[in-house]
Amino acid sequence: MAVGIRVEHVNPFVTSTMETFAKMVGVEAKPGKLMLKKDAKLEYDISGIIGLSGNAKGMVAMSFPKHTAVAVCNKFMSADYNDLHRDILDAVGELVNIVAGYAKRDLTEFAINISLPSVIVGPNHQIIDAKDAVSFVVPFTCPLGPFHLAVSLKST
Amino acid sequence: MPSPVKVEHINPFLSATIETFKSMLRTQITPGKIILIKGAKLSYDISGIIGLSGGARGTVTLSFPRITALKAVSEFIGEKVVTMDDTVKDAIGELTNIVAGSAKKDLAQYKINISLPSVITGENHKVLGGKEVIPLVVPFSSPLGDFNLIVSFISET
Repeated sequence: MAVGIRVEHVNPFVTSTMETFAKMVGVEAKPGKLMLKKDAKLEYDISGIIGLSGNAKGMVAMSFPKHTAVAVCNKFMSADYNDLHRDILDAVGELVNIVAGYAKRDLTEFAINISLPSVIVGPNHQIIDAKDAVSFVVPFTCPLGPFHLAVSLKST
Repeated sequence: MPSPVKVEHINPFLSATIETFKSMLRTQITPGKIILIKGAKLSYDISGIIGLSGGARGTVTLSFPRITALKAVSEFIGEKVVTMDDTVKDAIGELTNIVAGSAKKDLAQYKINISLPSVITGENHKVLGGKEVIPLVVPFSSPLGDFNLIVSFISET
């Protein structure tokens, strides 16, 4: 039987984002108020996106303004780039991969597998989710700047 | 260093794209020479992305300049569209979904599941892969304009 998608299903992604930032980046990332994505008009400079499939389908995206992406990935890799170098872009893909990989362990009811990540670069891009999915956005703040976590799910 | 996607893994996606455009858009499209995404200066106005997981992991992306997207969607829905509205975004997601769904039938040995499609909008955005594999790009030309198919794929077995 299909499981309804609820706010609780986003929690593993929020927790894994906090843990990934604490362990891998070495900063505290604080989640703000969760929003339904349709209520938010969101534009970003760089996003890491990964597909989810199994007993639920969907996607997870971490989207950053340029300055946050550069600062977070520099800290993550112990690097010192000042622009969107190819290594920064790879690191954004790696971060979303880690976040999705941790989160799926807490969503055993959905037996989720994750795809490879894609990285989107371009000022003011938007990500539009499939319309039959439930899509949430969690704004985060951290000492390196703000970013957003977006989770879109549909049970199958 | 990541290695490129194997050509044998890209063929089902290439065929599925040709078939989908033929059956859904009544349009003959012609694939060009496959290129590595690395170093390619490719930017687009709208992209449909879908994840693949199971016995293989990957992504399929269809990326369009604005004009090609509008013409392709007009053919797809049988109604002329002139602005990048929600109809266009939904239709690009649906096209990507059809291509991925059709390709997975030819990759049955990998027991692939597909994710939901996401659509990216934004003038001159780029779509890149992660560190694990170098995606391949198939540039297509058609009477509706040019567009690209981008595939990343790794067998888990």
